[in-house]
Amino acid sequence: MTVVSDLERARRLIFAADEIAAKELLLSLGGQIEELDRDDLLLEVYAQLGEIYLVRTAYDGVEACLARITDCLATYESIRAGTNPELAAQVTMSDAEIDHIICRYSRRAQFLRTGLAAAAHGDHEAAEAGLLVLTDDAEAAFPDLAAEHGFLVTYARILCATALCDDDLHVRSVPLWEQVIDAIEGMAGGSELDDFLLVLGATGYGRFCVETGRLAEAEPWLQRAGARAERWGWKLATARTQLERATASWAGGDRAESQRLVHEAYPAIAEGYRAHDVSRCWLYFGLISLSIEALDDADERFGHAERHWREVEKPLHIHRILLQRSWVDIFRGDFAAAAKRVAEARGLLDSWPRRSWLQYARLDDHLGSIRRAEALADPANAASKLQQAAELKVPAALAVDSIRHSMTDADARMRWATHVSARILAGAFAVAWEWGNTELVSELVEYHSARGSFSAQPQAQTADWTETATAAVPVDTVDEYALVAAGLPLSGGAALTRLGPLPPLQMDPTTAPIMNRYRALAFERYGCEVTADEPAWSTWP
Amino acid sequence: MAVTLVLRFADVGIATYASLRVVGEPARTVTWVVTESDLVAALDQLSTALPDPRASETVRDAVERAIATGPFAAPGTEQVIARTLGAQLLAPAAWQLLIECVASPRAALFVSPSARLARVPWSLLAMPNEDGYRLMELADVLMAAPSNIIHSARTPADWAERRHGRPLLILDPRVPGQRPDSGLGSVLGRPSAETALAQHFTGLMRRRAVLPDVSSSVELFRRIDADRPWLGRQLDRQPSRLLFVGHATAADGDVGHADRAALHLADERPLTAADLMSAKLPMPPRIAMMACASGGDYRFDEATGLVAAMVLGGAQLVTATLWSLPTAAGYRQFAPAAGDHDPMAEAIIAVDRAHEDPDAGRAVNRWQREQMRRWRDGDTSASPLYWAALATFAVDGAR
Repeated sequence: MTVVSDLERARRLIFAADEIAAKELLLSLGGQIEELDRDDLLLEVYAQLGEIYLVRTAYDGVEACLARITDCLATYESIRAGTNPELAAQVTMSDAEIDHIICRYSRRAQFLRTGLAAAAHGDHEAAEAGLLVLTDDAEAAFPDLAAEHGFLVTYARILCATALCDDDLHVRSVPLWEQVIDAIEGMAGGSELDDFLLVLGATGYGRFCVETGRLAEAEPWLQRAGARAERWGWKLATARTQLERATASWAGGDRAESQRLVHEAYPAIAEGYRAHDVSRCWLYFGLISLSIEALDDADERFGHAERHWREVEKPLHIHRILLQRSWVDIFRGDFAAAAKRVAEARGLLDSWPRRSWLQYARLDDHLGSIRRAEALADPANAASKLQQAAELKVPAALAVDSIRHSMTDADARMRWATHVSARILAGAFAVAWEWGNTELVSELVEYHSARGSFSAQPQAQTADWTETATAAVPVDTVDEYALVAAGLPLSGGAALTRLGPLPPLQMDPTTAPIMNRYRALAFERYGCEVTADEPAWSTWP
Repeated sequence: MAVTLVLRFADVGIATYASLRVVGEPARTVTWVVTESDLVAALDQLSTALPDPRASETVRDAVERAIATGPFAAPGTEQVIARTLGAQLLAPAAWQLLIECVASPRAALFVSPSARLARVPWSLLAMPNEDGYRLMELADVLMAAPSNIIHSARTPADWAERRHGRPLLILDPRVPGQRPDSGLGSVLGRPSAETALAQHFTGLMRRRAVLPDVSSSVELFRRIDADRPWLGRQLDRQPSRLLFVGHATAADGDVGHADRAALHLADERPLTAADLMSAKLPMPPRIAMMACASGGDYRFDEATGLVAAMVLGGAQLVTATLWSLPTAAGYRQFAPAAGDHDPMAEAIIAVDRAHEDPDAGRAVNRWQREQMRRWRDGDTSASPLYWAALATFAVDGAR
């Protein structure tokens, strides 16, 4: 039967991300299916169309498909419930056949609902609930549907995990990624279905690794996904692995490789109309321009990224690109424009329900960088600008650094230092030093050496602007750590490093505990108690 | 009351910030920045002087380089490196403040280096001007333990109460399965009543009883029973102090795992700082840890982990070595003029004596100054590979 084979062909076109051809094919089948009077085939058309709209961020289309599937299923359900005798009389299918249809397409609809909640609305709670309904639907009556069910569950998990990462909720995505990796590793492999999941899952997980600062872990997954996608001739999927590898290269400081990969990836991504990835390409194009001080190019490219993100309404990413664009203003010496962009970025964060204190700490630190740049450009007013920079940077540094010392896992501590706290702390030292504030510099040195030199410090550091929009997201729950830091110090037994906040430090018998004001600001702004509520430690020998 | 100065360094990305202050007079504080390139250059130059292997060197090559050809082989080149380090690590304003604080009694200068500066022999640093004063001439140089360690729950052992007790001497314990000339073999050579060290301890035993219980000093060396349980029993006898001479290994060269730094007893497994802490062994008020290398690929560049563990165990003053001391055999092999001179024994005896002094840290400094002056006057038998390696950590007001 040609319709069935056409539907299979459409499925393969979807795997290859040739959605335009797939959509045309699916829409062309309407007449034949009508003639055949086969609702199951029509449901398959809507289910596939729904998937297409979902990946193309055409969310209205997904809603429409869902409505059609739901209506149709409701009819069959009423027949089985005996509440629709009129239609029941016309149906030629057996009860078992009807149940089969209901089972199969309820799952397909549930998959679309879950994906829509996650991707379109960023409603991760609804997505999680939807996923639960899908996974719990373990109807054993139809063993022939088990493989498809497994496929849908893993696919939905990938969509949910990816959507969480889009909102910086990497920590919450961890259990999902674990399940995805288990599923991928457990697959026999070789079938188009399996490989589609492998490529999608490995690419998503690779991105997760890059974004959480685990570059070495990302590489083999991205390579594997890329090789598999290439074997099937899936151009877009191949390009997406290149984009993720480009981001890894950038994070690792290899700009030439990053440039090569992102240029290679872009055409297929633009053709595939993946809005978020298109924006991400433009972001890296802009960064590459910025790295060679081509400011106009950088501004234009960041502008494209911003526009695409505005189209798909991604507040966090608009926030980030605004901060990144402000570096162009800073390099042009237009500090007012930079500050304006940062103010807009702050507004976006204020109105975004999923904001975290860490995003604010990074924002304040960045505003401090603008003040610092202003000071360097205008030596006559440098002191007051540097003072303002310190007001912004020192509390942010104390907040992020105190969190580092709340982490019991040494590797997590090192990752936090590398990707979050070291840069901000270095910025705080630098403004205190440039300000010529001996007291503050000596207090920062005192603070820094109170824990001893037992924990390694990351050594390499790139320029500030390279990580503004691409900063790694810690995989450790920052909000949780804010609570830990505010609580009692952890007594780790035999350890050379006391975890948790230290008590206030008094560095001289004639003075009060150090950095009182900055500690208070850190608490006020970020809710981080950077000192333990204990008697002050004297730190002179 | 002697002045107390505090010199601290903090590695922050591409810069290392430093502060020098006078306790009680915060207005005199000076701060400065050591740039990454200066820091790397200073450490690189220092590494050419030390007996720890660089790059592909063997331990033997490293010891030969340090003794025979490196900057610490002759007073002239040593002075150059001392001035270079003095110029790169301390700002002119810091030297100025140190000069202003010259007094009698000498000021006590407490240093807390950053992790990367952990092997710098601070006392050797010279003022980069025509006077060329050494840091140890301007002040007694001591090391500060981190506040973190000092303020931990610990029960310090008090020297005033223990000073009449018996010193515990652990000299070159025999690591099982190691031939005398292997990596963890003997560092003091075949025990004999005739050696300078044996005679020194014979003299000590005439004045006071020692631990372990022995009838002659030669029995103190190369013991096969000095394992963990033995150490625990000896420490329970509340020794006045502990002198350890033997192997110590760094934490896999891995900064950040200082608790894996270890001492080698007559035990299969080395005794790590973490073991010391979890066993809660009661430490005497004073400890000297003379780490030596007789070969093999062991190095010791992170005393801090062991020192911290000892302070947590109750010690108030710990003298440690910043690098592995070449054994007498190694020294004689590459310093032909040495004859039967044994600089290792000389250093051990000096530290052992200093640890009987009311202010042990200052006494170690005095010996270091004497050696430095002999060396500066052309006596190459007073090698900085030994005197500059000593660093004394002091807490709870110990000096």
